[in-house]
Amino acid sequence: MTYRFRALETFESELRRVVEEPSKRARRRRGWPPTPRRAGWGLAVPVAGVLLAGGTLALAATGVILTGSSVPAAAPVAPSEGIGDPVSSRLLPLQVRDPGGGLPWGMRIVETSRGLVCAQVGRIDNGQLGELGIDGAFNDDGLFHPFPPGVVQSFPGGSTEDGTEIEGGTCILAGNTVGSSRTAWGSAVAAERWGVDQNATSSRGHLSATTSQRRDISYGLLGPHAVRVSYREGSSVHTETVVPGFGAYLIVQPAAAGSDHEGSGEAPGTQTPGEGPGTVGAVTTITYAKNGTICENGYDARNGATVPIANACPPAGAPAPPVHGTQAGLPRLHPMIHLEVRAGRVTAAEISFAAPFPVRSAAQDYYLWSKGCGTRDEGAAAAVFNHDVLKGGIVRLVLKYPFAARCSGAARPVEILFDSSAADARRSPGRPPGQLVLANATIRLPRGDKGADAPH
Amino acid sequence: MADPDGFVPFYQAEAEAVLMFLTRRTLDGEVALELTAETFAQAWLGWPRVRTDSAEEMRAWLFTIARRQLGRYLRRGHVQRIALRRLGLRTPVAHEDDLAAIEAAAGVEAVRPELAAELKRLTADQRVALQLRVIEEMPYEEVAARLGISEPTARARVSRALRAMQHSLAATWGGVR
Repeated sequence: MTYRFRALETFESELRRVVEEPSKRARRRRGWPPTPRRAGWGLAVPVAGVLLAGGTLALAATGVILTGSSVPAAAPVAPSEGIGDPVSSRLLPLQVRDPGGGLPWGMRIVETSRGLVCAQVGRIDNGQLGELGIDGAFNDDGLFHPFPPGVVQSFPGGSTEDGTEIEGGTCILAGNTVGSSRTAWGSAVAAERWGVDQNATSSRGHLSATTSQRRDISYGLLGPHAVRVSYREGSSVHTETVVPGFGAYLIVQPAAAGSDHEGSGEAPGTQTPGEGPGTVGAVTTITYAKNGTICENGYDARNGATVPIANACPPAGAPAPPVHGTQAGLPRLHPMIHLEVRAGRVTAAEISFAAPFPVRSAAQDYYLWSKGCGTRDEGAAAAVFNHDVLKGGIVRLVLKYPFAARCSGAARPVEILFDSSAADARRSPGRPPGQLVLANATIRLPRGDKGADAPH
Repeated sequence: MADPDGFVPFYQAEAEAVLMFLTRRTLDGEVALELTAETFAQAWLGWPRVRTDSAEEMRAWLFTIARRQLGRYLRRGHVQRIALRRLGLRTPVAHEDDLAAIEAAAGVEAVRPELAAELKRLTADQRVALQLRVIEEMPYEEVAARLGISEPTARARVSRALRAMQHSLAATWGGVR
């Protein structure tokens, strides 16, 4: 079959992969939904029927819920882009009841091939974390769908560590295990996801019509010194101990009334001690114990108010620069600039160069930064190369719509940087620890061409 | 129940028509490709439930799915990859030449001036609300806060603007697939 458009041919190959897969074909011939693993199909139908008809998952709490197919793995990616390590998948000893009953919520961590630790939230059944086939997910089959080991996202193309894609997946919280040890204070991560469907799948495409079917979830890995968290639920304040070692906590509440969308944000506790930059979440107080001393951070992210506490933790303070900033000995970079022009309009600029330093983990990346222009700092933009690359390998950084801002003129200056969070990383003068300025370059608009507007 | 072996030939026969249908209504080849992929992924999930051998009925069923995807896209401002995700399918990525060819085949350039004119016909408050909601993908409460209006009013403005644009698209393309 010949198509006029190559993309259709590419997608036919993708479709064939699914349509012609023997196991799926066999399953389809028996009908939908797939055969449960733990019980005969004859039992599955009435149980699923009861669950759906009753509008409750109460039966699930008794262990009757059946297991369906695994949550699909994301599209395969190269290890240099960061993939979940199946061996590292570890369910944390946390079980939190759902406001509507049924299977409890839980959390597991998955380490990636580039040294990130990813916190993943879902429902727990029989020692596994997964999602439920209700409220539009998995064809409403009423079954439990476990995450396979190492699967950190269920979205195709979403298994890389690129921030944008992680945000779209089920694993949106990732801390760095490299460079800053997991035992350090500064490695904590915390977030809230709101408007999540009670089935634990991403709300994208399954957003339940009623608020009662959605949840607000606060969770995090606060580090080994965290002891307990207090959080607000309505007008009450509750306190829970965290999972020792990881400082893991998980809070599941009914979605706030009137919420009509899903979202996520960073919660307090991300940079400890002294409180993090969080702006969302139910947590109001975090208690730490270090060297026999107990201290607390108190901050209500939902209203910005300080919470009374007994022993305030010392402020975090600025990290000490590891070495004096210098540009001495830096290799000279020769960046190539290639413009993408469509119908006389520049839509992107690709800056490529041979890597002067290798990137071996998520602790390092190449970064491109372009300042905004005008009084409103319009058009500020950045691009990041966060794949592993050998020394001398080609790094490509793509700046989208470089001339979209009206004030950008015909020349767009950019800075090419190398960031490293290793303890002994070098830095350029006036830069934060670990940040090296490799080169300055200018993207120029060819005569006769115009800058394309960004599509927002 | 439709024969599983018939799905790939069905795709081969209809993919381009669906792509053109969606390109003419989104004016964006890249978005149309994503919507086409999601349409066929949804179609494959529903394939076991198809109870007809009529090519015309199957085509009508497929375009119903495509219209539903288009409606979701217009309401939400982004493509939902529900079935693609469930099946673990990668979204097709088109080279810029391919995109240009898709948009040229769909005659997108010819209709852009008409749509620009149609946008201008929207009231200023509708146009701004539509931009914030659909282009900048803001939730309604943020649109409302930004414009200093209530959330129901923001919803009403966006809804009216979208309806006006949909009428424009329908009038422009008529029964064209």
